[in-house]
Amino acid sequence: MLSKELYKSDYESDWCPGCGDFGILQALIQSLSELEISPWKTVIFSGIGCSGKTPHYINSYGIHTLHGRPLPFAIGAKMANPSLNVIAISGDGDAYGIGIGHFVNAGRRNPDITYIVYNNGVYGLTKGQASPTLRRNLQPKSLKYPNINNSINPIAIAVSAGYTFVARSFAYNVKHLKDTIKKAILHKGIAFIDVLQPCPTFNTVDTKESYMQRIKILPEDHNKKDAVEAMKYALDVDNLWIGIFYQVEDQTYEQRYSQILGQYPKNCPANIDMSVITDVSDSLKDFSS
Amino acid sequence: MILTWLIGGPQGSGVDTSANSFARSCAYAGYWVFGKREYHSNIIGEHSYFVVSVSDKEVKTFRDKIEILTSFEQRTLDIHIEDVAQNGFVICDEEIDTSKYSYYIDSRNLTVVKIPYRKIIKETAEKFGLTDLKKLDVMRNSISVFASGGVIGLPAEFIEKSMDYIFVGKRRKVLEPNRYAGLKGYEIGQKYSDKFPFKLKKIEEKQQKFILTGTQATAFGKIIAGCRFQTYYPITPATDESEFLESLAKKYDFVVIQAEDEIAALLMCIGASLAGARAATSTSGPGFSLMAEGMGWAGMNEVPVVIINYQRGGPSTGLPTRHEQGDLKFAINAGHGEFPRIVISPGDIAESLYITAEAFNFAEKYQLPVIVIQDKFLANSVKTILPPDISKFTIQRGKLLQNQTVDGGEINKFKRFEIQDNSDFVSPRIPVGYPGFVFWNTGDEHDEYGHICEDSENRFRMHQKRMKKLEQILSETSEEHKISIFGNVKSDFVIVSWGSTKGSILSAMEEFQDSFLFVQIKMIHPLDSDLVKRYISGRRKIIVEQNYTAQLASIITERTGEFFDYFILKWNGRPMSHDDLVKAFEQILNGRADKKIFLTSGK
Repeated sequence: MLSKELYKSDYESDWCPGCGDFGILQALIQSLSELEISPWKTVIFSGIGCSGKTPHYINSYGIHTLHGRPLPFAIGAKMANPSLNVIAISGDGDAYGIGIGHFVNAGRRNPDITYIVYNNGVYGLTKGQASPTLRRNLQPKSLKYPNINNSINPIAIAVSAGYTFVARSFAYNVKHLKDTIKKAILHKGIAFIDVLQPCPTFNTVDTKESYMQRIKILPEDHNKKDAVEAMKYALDVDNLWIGIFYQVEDQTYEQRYSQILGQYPKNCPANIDMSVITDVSDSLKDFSS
Repeated sequence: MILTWLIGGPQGSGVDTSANSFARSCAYAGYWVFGKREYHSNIIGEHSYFVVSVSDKEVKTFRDKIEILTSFEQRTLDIHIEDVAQNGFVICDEEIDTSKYSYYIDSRNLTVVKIPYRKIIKETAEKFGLTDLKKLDVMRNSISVFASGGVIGLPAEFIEKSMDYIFVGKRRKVLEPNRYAGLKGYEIGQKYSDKFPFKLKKIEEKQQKFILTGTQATAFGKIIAGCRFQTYYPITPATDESEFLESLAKKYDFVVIQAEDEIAALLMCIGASLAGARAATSTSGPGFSLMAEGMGWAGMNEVPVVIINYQRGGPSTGLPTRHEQGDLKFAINAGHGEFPRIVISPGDIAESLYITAEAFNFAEKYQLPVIVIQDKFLANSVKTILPPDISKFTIQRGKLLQNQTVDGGEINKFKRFEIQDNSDFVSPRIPVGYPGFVFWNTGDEHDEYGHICEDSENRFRMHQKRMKKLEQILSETSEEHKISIFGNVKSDFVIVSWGSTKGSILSAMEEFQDSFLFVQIKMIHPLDSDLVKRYISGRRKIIVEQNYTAQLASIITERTGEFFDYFILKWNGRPMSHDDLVKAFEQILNGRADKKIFLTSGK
C-alpha cells in the first residue's frame, strides 16, 4: 500500500464545508493508494465545475480540461499511451448536459479508463442552476420557479451506450465508493460510476439525509451480466440503488486497434522512435509515374 | 507544348476514374500533369468534371481554355462547349446531337469525334459473354480515355498501364473487356490525330516523378514527421486525407480515430500530445469553427498540436465542394482571449508535404497549436511532382524530455510552465506518465506548476510569457520558412499572395517575362512585417486571393502600414486559373485595370 500522503497535493481545496466532493476525493486517494498505483502513473482529467478542481487536490498528473470534455482528452491520451492509468472526472452538468455526446460515444469505444461523475443535481460553481439530473418540479434555493425539465437516467444511458461497467455510489459512504472505484480501475474497459453527491450550499432539496433515506444497496446475487436486469434497477427511480448494476467483458478500444495495426500497443504513438526519419518510399511507389 | 483536356459527366458515372486514368497515362509517358476536379455536394447525378493540363514542362495549374472536351452526355457539352479553344476537339457519343453547337464548331473550327459507345459496348459484351449491359455503361469512360489518347497520339501502352493500376481488386475481372472496348475507341481517335497540332510521344529521358493529390501529400508529410495519431470527423474535402492514412495504418502503426464530432477530434489530439505523441487533426471550415475552444485550451496550456484546415466556400455550410480562402483571419484569431499560435500556408502540393512535416517541429519547439491552412483546390487537385527531398528534414522536438527511468519512490512537482529569466519563453516539457514527476494543466490562468492562480502579478508574467513566444518564433525562424520570392526583384510591380493561388500566379507570370516580383507568404502568423515590408515597399502592390474582403491584404496593411494598389479577388467558389491571371496581369501592365479586379470564370 502506497502512503496516502504521497497523493495529497499541497494545493488547498476551496470546496464548501460539508461538500460531498471531499468524500469522493478521499475515496479516490484511498483507492489509488490501496491499488499501489504510483502517482506518476495516473492521469486525472477533469471537466469544469467544482468537480473540475479535483486534480489540483491530488498529487498525480492532473489535467483540468473544458466543460463537458474530459472524456475526449482522456481517450486521446490513453490511445497514445495505453500504459497510463487514466481517470476522467465530471460533474453531472459536465457529463450529462454539455458532454452527453462524448458520454455516449465513449461507451461505443470502451477504452480502458474510469469515469467518475459527481452527481448533485445542480451547477454548483455557477451558483445553483438546475442540472440534467434535477428532478422535475423540484425547486432548490437558486431556482426562480420549480424545475420544468425532466431528469435523465445516466445509468440507463450508460448501459445502452456500451459501457462495460456501470455503477453508482454515494459520496458519504466512502468505503463503498472506494471499493467501487478500485473495481472500476481494475475493470478492463470503460468503467462508469455515478456518485450521488450532496451539494449543501445549493441543492437544498437533495440533502445528505434525503439521499440516505432513499439509498438502497443492490442485492448481492444481482446478475451483473444481464442488461435487462440492470435496466430494471436503473429505471426503478423511486429507489436510489447503489452498487454495480452491470459488468461485462468486451474488447477494449486498444484491443480493437491492436487487431488493425501492426504492433500496437507496443509501438503506440507516444513510443514512436523518432531518431530516424520514416522511409515512405515503399508507399510512394504506388504513386510513381 | 501544353494541352488541356476536360471530361464531364454525372457524379457516380466514373468521371474521376477516367480523369485519373488519363492523367496517369500522360505521366507514364513522361509528361507533367495537373488535374483539377469539380463536383457537387451530391453522390449520384449532379454535374461533375475534371480538367487535366498536360505538358513536357512542369504544369503548375489548370487552364480555362480546353483543347479536348469529352463526355458521353449532352449536359457536359452544353456547359463546357464555350470553353473549347480554336481548332479544339470534341469527343462524344455519336447519339448526341451536336448541331446545337454549330456556332462554336464553325467559328472555332472544332473537330467533332463521334464515338459509337453503345455499339462498342454491345460488341465487347458479346465477345466476353457479359450480359448486364447497364453495368457495362461505365466502360464508356475507358473508351473516352483511349479515344482521347488516339487523338493526341499517346502510345496506347501507357493507357493500358494506367488501367492496370486502376483496375484492381473486384474490378480486375473487367480489365480485359475495358481494354478491348478502349482500343476500339483508340482506333477511332487515331483517325483524327493528324488534325491535332502535336503528338504526345513518349519522352525518352524521363525524370522520376510522383503523381499525388494534396491530401495524399499532406498525409505523407505527417508520416515523415513521426506523427502517428490522427483524428477526424468526416467533412469534405478533408476526409480523403484521413481515409488515406487509414489505408496505411497497419504499415506505420498509425492510430486514426473517427471522432464523434470535431470538438472531440481536436481534444483527443491534445490528450495524445500530452501523452507525448505527435498528433494532428484535419478538417474544413465548419469543423474548424467547432475547434475554437479547444485551440484556446491548447494555447493556454502550451500543448503542441497540428490542425489542418482545408478551407472551402463559407460561411456556414457554404459550398462544401468548392474552393475559397475565406478562413484566414479566423484561423489567426479563433478562440476568445489572446494566445500564441502559428498559421502557415503551403502554396502547392509538394509544399503541402514539407510544410505539414515542419508544422510538427514548430508545434513542439514552441509548444503551441500550429494551423496548416490549405484549401479544396489543393486537397483535390492531382499533380506530378519531383520526388520529395527530405534530406535536410530533421525531427526537432524542442524541450521535450523523454526516456527517464524510475528510481526510488520520490515524487517531485514539475514546473511545466517555468518562466525563465531570459529571452527563451519556452519551458521544458515532459509527457504525462513521465516517471518521478507530476504536474497540472488547467484552462484557468495558472502558476508554473499548472495550478489555478488568479494572482495579478502571476497573470502579468504568465500571459506575457506565452505571448512573447510569437516574437521568439520570428527571431529564430529563417526566411525560407516565412516567405518565398519569385520573379524580378527589380520590378516595379509586386504580387503578394498565399496558399494555392501560387501555381496560377507563377504560370501566368511566365507570359510577362521579368515584369513582376512575387512574394508568397507562407508563415502568415506571426508575420515578419519587416521582412515583408522590405520586399513590397516602394512598389506597385497587387494582392491576389480568393475571398471577398482581401484578408491577407488587410493583415499586411495592419502590420506594415503598406497599402495595396490592386486587388485581384475571386469568391465564386472556383479556383483562379492560368487564364484568369494572364488577363488580370495584362490589364495591370497596360494601365487599364481597375483597382479591384473580380474574377468570375469557372463552371
